Amino acid sequence: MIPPAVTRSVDFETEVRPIFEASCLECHGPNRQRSDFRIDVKKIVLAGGGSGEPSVVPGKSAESPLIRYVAGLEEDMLMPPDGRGDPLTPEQIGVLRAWIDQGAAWPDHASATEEDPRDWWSLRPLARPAVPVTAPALRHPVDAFLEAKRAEKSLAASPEADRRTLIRRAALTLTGLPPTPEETDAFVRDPFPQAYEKLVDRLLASPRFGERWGQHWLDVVRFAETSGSESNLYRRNAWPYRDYVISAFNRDLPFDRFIHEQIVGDATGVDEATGFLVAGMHVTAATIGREESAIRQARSDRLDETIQSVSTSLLGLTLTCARCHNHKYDPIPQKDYYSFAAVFAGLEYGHRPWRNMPDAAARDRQAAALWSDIEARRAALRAQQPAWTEEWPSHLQTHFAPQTTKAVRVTFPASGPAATVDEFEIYGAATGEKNLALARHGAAARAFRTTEVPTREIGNVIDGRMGGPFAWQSRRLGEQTAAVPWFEIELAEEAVIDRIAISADRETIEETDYIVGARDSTGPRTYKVEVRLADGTWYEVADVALGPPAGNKPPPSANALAALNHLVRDYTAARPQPLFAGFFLPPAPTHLLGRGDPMDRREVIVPNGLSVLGTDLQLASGTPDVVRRRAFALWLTDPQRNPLTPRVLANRLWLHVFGHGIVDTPGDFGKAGQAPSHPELLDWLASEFVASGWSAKSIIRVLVTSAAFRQSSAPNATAALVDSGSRLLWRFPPRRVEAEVLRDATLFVAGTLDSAMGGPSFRIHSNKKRYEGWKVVDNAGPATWRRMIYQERMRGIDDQMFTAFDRPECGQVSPKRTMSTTPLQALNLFNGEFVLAQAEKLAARVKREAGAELSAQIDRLFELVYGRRPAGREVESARSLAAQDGLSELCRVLLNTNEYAFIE
Amino acid sequence: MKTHLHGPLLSPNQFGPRLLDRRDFLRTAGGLAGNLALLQLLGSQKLLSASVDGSVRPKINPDQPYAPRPPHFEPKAKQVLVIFCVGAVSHVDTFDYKPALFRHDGEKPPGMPAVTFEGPTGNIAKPIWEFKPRGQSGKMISELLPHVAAHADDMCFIHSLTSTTSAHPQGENFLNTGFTLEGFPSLGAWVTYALGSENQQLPAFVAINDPRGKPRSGKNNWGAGFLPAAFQATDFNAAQPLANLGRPDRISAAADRRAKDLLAEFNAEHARKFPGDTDLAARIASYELAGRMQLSIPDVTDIKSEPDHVHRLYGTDTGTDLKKDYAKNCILARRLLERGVRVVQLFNGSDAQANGISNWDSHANIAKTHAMQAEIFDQPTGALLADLKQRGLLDDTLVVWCTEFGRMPFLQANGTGRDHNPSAFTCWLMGAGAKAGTTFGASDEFGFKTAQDASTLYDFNATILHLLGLDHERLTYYSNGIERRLTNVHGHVLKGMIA
Repeated sequence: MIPPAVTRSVDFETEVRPIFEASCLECHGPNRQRSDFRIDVKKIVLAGGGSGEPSVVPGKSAESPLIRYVAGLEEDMLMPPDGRGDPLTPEQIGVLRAWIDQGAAWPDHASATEEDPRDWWSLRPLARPAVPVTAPALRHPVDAFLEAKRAEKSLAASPEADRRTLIRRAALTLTGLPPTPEETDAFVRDPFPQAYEKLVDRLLASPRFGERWGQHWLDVVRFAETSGSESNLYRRNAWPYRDYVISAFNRDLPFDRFIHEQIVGDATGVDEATGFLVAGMHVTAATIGREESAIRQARSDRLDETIQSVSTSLLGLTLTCARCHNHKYDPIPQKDYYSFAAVFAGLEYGHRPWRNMPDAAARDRQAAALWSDIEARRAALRAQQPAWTEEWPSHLQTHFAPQTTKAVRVTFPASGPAATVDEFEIYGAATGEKNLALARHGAAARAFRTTEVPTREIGNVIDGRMGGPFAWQSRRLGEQTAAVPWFEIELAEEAVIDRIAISADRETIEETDYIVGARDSTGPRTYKVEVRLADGTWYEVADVALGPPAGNKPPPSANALAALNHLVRDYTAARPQPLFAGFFLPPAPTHLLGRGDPMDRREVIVPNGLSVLGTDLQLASGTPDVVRRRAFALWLTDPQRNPLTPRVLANRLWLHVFGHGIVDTPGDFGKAGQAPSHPELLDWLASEFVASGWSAKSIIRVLVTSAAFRQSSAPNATAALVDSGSRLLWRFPPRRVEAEVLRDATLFVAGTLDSAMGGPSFRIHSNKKRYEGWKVVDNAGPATWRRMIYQERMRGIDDQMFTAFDRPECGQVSPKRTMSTTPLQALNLFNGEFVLAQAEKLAARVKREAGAELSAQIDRLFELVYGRRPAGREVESARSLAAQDGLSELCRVLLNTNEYAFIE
Repeated sequence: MKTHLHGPLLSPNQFGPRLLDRRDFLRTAGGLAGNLALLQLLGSQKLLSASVDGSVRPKINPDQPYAPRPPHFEPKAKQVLVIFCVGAVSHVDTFDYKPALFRHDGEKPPGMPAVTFEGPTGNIAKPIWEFKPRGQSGKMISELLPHVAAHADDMCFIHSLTSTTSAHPQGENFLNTGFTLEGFPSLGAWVTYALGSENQQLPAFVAINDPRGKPRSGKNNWGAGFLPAAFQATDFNAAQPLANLGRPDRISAAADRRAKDLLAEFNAEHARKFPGDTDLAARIASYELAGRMQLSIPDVTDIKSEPDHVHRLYGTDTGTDLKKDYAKNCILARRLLERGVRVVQLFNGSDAQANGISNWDSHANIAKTHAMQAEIFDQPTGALLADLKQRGLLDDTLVVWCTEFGRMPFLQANGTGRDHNPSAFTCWLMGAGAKAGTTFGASDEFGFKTAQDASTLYDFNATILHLLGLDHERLTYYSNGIERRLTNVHGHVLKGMIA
């Protein structure tokens, strides 16, 4: 029971505030804000703290959480908690109740103020700082900024690295491949004063650049080609997004446009770019189950993945922390999270036609021609026979003479193979492409028996969802025969119909690859189709009995139907292919979800950007999908309205050049992240980036032409004491190369690298059943000798070789790779087939190029692997091993050394 | 240097993605490797390790990521064996005795949902196996698992666990990582990140997969998530050796030795140019550890060397092939624990099928599928528990038996299977720190929902960490904006389960 309100008029300053100060302020005041709540800030008390709910509802003391907490009415929420002070007396509670019931008057001057939330380095407007003046004056602005910081710590930059080190460093950084010995020699001997700048321009222009830098971007969005979770199905044609990213870096596509296309490329003719939005995992329907709460939760999780990609990669904010409550550290109210969710409310994970695929125009022409052929063949058939069934790659179509009816019945044999039907469609000439059988068009389905296998009820065949896991089955598992199985579709109204489509697992056939047996399951092979006549009797329009499936390529045939089957397959192949880049539906209203619970829908939220930046995208809950995403993309790339994006991107470019960011938490520019080591430099780079027309190559060129990048990485004991991490860049910080570089460089020096770009990924896994893990079958053979960015990427699957080298598994976003050292790496690299095979190839190459003399071979080997000749004791040691155990053993050793595995 | 001990250096972000990065290490260590003695002193007084928010940072030497490290407080257990029955074991048919199910067999219970995970529901079904009292405690356990049941007096059951999901892969993730989504560190990764291992010749954390293959959520069950890759489990079992462990066939032992020596020579020569660079030193050390593992792993997986009576006890030569293989995995688990491996995760059940059975999931004909799975599981697991006890290993080893959720007290509409039940299910602890012969919490009279001491898997995991001397609220790692924990922002240690 709550103590009653006192019956007098209560004054905030003399009666209420003293209670707050004595009992609450210690944990909920300026010094600590437990649960993100402050009792001394009027706005927070009346509008909500961390939970987003107001603590005081004026006029309603009994409903105010504050009263419920101090009165101990909420389980485990008694305030002050045990050990933090005495409970309030009934009199004190009565005072608080009276104050609330009397309207909770609280003079503004009696409220503490919060800090201005925008007064945080990453949220402040972007201004271009002046380049510091140094003595002696430094020619390169980056060096001037760095020198100013170094001088504060009495540190000095290191001398320029030697040219062999420099070309290797630049080549690995920019292209992910080492230089050839010839390139190294040419650079070492180049007398031209701008030799280094020339080298940089050449490397930036190389198509290998996009393959290196594209991977950095794919890491951040955890791009993979499978859905993740239990079935982890392969997403057919997800790879075009990977190619798009590589090409964007190679073309130096202005980054603002790159962002724009990734958010709303479907409206600008770049379909594959929106692969960005669906790069994260999604759980397929079969694994979600049938409970409403689970279905809503899964939808909410899918959107969360998208919000995570956008906020981590472009805003450097951990927005997803605000899914259940206001952000704990940063000025991001829970509402903002749902504003973002509303921006993407029209997005769904899945395929849509790839309209701008290469040769789109030619393909369209071909499809149109094939379609007229099909129509002609059909007309001819119609004249010859009353009905026929076409075998499309993913389904069957039975055509028959037009019938006016309100119901269709399909009957299957009582014995023989059971029929599986995931979807059944009905069409008529007058109604065109409208599927009259859909439940949402008013149709209803019933079947010969009412108790079915739980997941396989008959309603599934008219729910518009393709896919085997929820298909209806004519017989239960293990059942040999049943009463003659049938189902009926009752249409909403009488219609003229002339065609039905039936399938068993259309989703698998159309949208995934590498599933064992999927393509044999086009649909039932034997069935009858009847329509109900006006007098209630059933009239048979087709009696279908197909032979065994012909597979992908039925032989050409003179038979008219066989020829038609051939045509529909060609037609399907010519049409725009399904692309895994998401699809878009009219958005439903977005609700704020109480504590992130999809079953707890609260107020409707309109699409918008970050509120702390004063954003108002002028969107409503009824705004069409494309309009939302376009407005959002424009906001993302407008430095006047949003200073985060250029800062975040400039920092990322820095990170991949120097190995650590100016902000070393590249996905978190908030209060839990790291402060920038050189804030002015970051702002200068961000401004420069915008001024360059968002040209990533321009900024990278600026960075790698700095003396900071060109300096030696040699250690210096004195400097290391002051700045062991070389964050102030008194030397170039050496680092181990990533998994991709290790693999690609090995193929490159062995002379086996296949430099073909783009297209479907090379395979390392076997085909699998739907519910089965992917198994690595060949991660070392010749078919895998392309750059690793083209290796098929199965989410969460260890590639048995390079995953051990901190290669992200694409479950969570990876703003920055971890870099660890483990014995598994050593075992994989020293004993694994990949390195052994490449060591043999490398030895063969060396012999081919250096001739029979062992010392020449060793010289050549060192040049290829390290870019230098062997020296001192190395010569004899190398010679001794090669002489005894063969050159390939020496190759194996070199490919395992630290010198090979580090960028120095 | 002093500022390093209070101020910004201990802010959450300093330790994140570069735990094993020498630069952070040295900066954390005050930039001076020579001050290690001071550091250890401070560490033991928890001065250095306590940061603003109370997190404890294990101090990890990149050269020796698996070196033993002190827990947060005196532990009850030094090692942990997690036995995970994949696919959801029916609690009402095994450990959670519900007499009401006999009385109401065939009826519709009040408040039963019309639809559960797989669809429409059927009627209440009594347990399929007879229950009998076991040991001194008289704990009622079904005849499905007689060998395991024999240890009832050493077990502490919890009947009031809940999960947040009723789907298997998400359930596996939630049980083992505290999150339904993928990409979070597993319990074993957290523990080895914190504690390292007692054995420097073997991996600190071993996942012994089911003979049929990996569970539904695969590697996520033993992955490192955003922790450094060093802390993911090494997975191998008695039949499948660790990939790339052995010397390649085409290279002789002598040549292999010479190659290793030359590699060491070249790396040492190279390191001389970068004195004090621990990145280089760590990589050199990793090759040395790999070399030791090449000897120690074949030794520990040499199940054949065990005497016959041990093979008979575990049942490696009777029953189905799957059972024989699983029995060998049980022997392997014991051999790993004997050698001081910190975390051993033993799987019973997989995503892949063999001999018509893949795991405990039983949507149709549960009488048959649970019986097939129990045939594989029961005798070898019972033997493993007996063996651990008899060798005194339970003094230091905590055994955790778990499954991702339970099954429904009623059947599905098909009348032969039980659907998933995340609202009440059973797991148990045994060995070091577990309150032997007791039961904590209760489900309702049908075993449908919790009735007493409702507990989450966060609580369960917090309890496991606690027994290992780790405070689940202070064992954190900064990742992308958040100090992440195994228990997210939840979890209370279940004191009622602790001896």
